[in-house]
Amino acid sequence: MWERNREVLAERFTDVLAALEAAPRLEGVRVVDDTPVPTLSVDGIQLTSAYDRAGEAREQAGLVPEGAQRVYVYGLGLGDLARRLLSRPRLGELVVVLLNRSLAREVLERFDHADWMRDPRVRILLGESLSELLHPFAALPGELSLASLECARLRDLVVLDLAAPHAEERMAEREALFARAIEANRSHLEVDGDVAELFSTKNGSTVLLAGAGPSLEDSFDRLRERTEPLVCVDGALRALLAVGVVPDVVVSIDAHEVGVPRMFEGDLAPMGGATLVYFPVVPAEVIARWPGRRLAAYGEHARWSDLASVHPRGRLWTSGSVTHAASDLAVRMGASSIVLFGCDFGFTRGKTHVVGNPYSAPAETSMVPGVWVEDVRGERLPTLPNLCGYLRDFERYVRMHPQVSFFNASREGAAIEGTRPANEVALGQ
Amino acid sequence: MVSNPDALRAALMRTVASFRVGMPARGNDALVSFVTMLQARLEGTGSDAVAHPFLAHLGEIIAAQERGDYLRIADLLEFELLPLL
Repeated sequence: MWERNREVLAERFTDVLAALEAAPRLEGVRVVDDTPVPTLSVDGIQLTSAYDRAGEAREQAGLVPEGAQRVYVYGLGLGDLARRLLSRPRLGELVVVLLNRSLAREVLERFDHADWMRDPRVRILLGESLSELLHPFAALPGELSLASLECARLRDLVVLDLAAPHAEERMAEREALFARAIEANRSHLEVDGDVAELFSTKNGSTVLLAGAGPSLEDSFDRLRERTEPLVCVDGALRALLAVGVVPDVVVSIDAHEVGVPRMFEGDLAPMGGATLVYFPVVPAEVIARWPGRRLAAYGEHARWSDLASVHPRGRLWTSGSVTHAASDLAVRMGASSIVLFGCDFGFTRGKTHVVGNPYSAPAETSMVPGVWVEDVRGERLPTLPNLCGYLRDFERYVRMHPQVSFFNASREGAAIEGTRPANEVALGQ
Repeated sequence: MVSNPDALRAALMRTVASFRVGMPARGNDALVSFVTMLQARLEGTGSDAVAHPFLAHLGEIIAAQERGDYLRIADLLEFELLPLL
């Protein structure tokens, strides 16, 4: 089987062939042939249906508009999806993107793909050669789970794109909660200031940003002794106050009626000289308890437009994470350098949050199987699908702000593309 | 409350379709809806031609979820349970 497939690769895709032949062998590979149709299982994950591969391919192809002339398929599968798409008379080009070279080699050694690979409309690419997600596409779910380290970023972009409609549905379900929270905060909006008062106040400076990841614990001394302004997310506040670090600005954007107040429990007297930047969905009791200056902000979503027409406020970017809003605040403040502390986007040191965060817990209480990102050491870091999404969106944000230098002080958190490791030399620039 | 077969079927197919195209979050939500309706059927009738086969496969479904083997779950739901509805 390999020789048949290899012949086509040698004829049409020599770079891909070289990559597959150099790829390390996989363990845990098993042909499942005691089922109505055979499939391959790798580490207990089926690459396709073992009952109706053709029907499954029809379902997957259904994600792609019928008239699409160029289609991308993320994953190799057993060829069923490629054949299904190639049967479309209007298809001009099919680009198959391999998400794991070793897996592709194992598949091609056991299943025949020569027929469809010979089709002149087919191109085959290695996933690590793509930096952005290309549309329209269909994907093989088993291979998303089995993507290699080199293809993790692309895999995340595929997964996030597929998950977006459902995420929008879930967000729409929370609109009633948002409306209630905004109504409860109208009196605050009447009197509180505007986040725009902070914009351009630190032009050319270095701003420190504290997230709520466990690796923040490595930086308590550095933050206590700082000379730069410190912006922190609400989830980091109690952890920082517990060790005598008083941030200059705290950012809070979530509406969770139980979770958010817990992050502001305890003695807030030290924050009398600090600023709270909040979205008006934050529970009113949190805003009311804040002893220092309060500045309201809105996100960039259209849901804020009506309120903004009555109570204009500056906007902060976020795609769901308070770390995003805090980062955008630092950029809007005029920072030329931003140093990220505890922005882990994953479960470092086997925990969910920094010690002192009320929700800090062992990671196994929250882990989702097969969900990981590459960390700064080049290893797999367990994480959650939403944290993955926040990470990729943040990387896109960093790319869109080339005038700002982003440094990552975490020695074990997620590798954040576009950031450089923080060190004393970098912090001095 | 006894869930009607059409609603059960719809929840099951939504689960299967979501897992097959790489939308596990939607699939898991639909699976929760299906299980909730199935529970109602069991409470309503005390015995059920679908609930018991589902419970028989539950261990395998949970194991497949734990390793992220969503196509295995889709196969079980579509070809072992759906024909019973």
